[in-house]
Amino acid sequence: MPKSKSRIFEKWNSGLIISALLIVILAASFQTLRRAWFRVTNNFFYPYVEVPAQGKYAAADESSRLYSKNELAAKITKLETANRIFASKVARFGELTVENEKLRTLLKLPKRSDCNYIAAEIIIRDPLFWKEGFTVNRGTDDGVIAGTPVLCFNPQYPGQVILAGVVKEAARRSARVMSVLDPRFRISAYFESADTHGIINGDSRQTLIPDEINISFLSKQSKFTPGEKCFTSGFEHQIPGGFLIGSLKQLNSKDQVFSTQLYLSGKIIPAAPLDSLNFVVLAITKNYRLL
Amino acid sequence: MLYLYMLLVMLILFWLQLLLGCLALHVPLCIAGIFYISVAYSWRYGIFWAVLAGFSLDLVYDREFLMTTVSFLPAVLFAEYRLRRDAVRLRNCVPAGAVIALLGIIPVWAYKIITYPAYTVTIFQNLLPATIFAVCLNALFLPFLVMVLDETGEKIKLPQFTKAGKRLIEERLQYN
Repeated sequence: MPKSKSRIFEKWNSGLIISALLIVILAASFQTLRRAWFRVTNNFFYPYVEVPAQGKYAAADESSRLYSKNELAAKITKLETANRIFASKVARFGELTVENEKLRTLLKLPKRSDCNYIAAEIIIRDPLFWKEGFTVNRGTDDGVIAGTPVLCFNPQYPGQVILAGVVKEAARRSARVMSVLDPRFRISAYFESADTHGIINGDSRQTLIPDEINISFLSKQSKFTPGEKCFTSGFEHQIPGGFLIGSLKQLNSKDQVFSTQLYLSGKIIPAAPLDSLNFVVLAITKNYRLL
Repeated sequence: MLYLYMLLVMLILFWLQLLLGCLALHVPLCIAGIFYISVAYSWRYGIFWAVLAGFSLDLVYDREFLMTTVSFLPAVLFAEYRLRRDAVRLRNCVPAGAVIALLGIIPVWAYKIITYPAYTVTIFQNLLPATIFAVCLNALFLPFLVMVLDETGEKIKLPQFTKAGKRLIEERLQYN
């Protein structure tokens, strides 16, 4: 083989070996690096990570600068007229009523001696895993720790505080949230009417359905009705009981009498409007118990 | 200069992808940047940026199994294939843009099909619109990106995408 060709092969080989080694090392240390990288990016590079969200708002706010003074004055007059019309129609606008309801629910959050509430904004969300999780702009500086419950409101469930997920990892000024639809989300749940407990995603053999939550280890003695509300049980050391998770869609075992299963399992429709969630409330436990 | 330029391009594309992602739009801009770098500069730079950008996206989005990194690496291979086939003209970028967008989303399909094996129809319903959108947009975006970066590259005297064939011949002559 000519010398130059063998040199090319050597270069290719060494390049490929180095690349393969790099990939293997990255794959092996992925979990550790993920944690480290999350801390680094979210602590030191937080302003840059927040740039996309801030850019969105800045672009929306600054668009008015493109107009001249006269145009702006005309626009203000026009808007004032429109405003008066809107004011008269406010009673008929369902959306405003819904938003009003949301804000009222926020204000009427049941006061608990064991936790404080802080509002947070969603800053990063994966478009391909939209409902599985998100990152919020509150972190350990605000008292957020891993396991902190993330709450929201849904006009379909007026007056109910809904569990949207739990904090998976917390950095100084941001935290990553695992939503109730994440297959790794695992907490105990309580059915009020049936007066029984179950475990969300407790049985890994259960088939996962998109947009539905698995619940298992439900008592066979209890009677369940479809649509029954499912709440947090309060067994977790950071998640207080009584937050709505969703409503029962169906039980998996139809023939309960002749079934050999010791427990029942079922599907829950989440109450949290994960599609359109922009703001959430974090419940910071004051004196969390250490396990 | 080249390194700084690549860093700037990739940073802008990375943040743009995050920004559009916050609006629930999956636009694979980083993969287009990696494709450009692989063709215009070298596949070695392509692999470096594929690993770095893919890894960063995986970590920012908290994705499993290095999904994005895995999807970026075939784009480098595809870029080298296109370069060797001498398909680096501007009009060739339209199908290439569509293909790399598809390459970028295939691991997500695979992951979802493995996670929810019994509900392929629902996965189709959820992912098909995002896939079509990404493919169409990237087919239009890649030629635009090539145009913009080639124009800038020409001004600052850097290798260009549309002249990559010439670079490849020069490299071969140098090795032989």
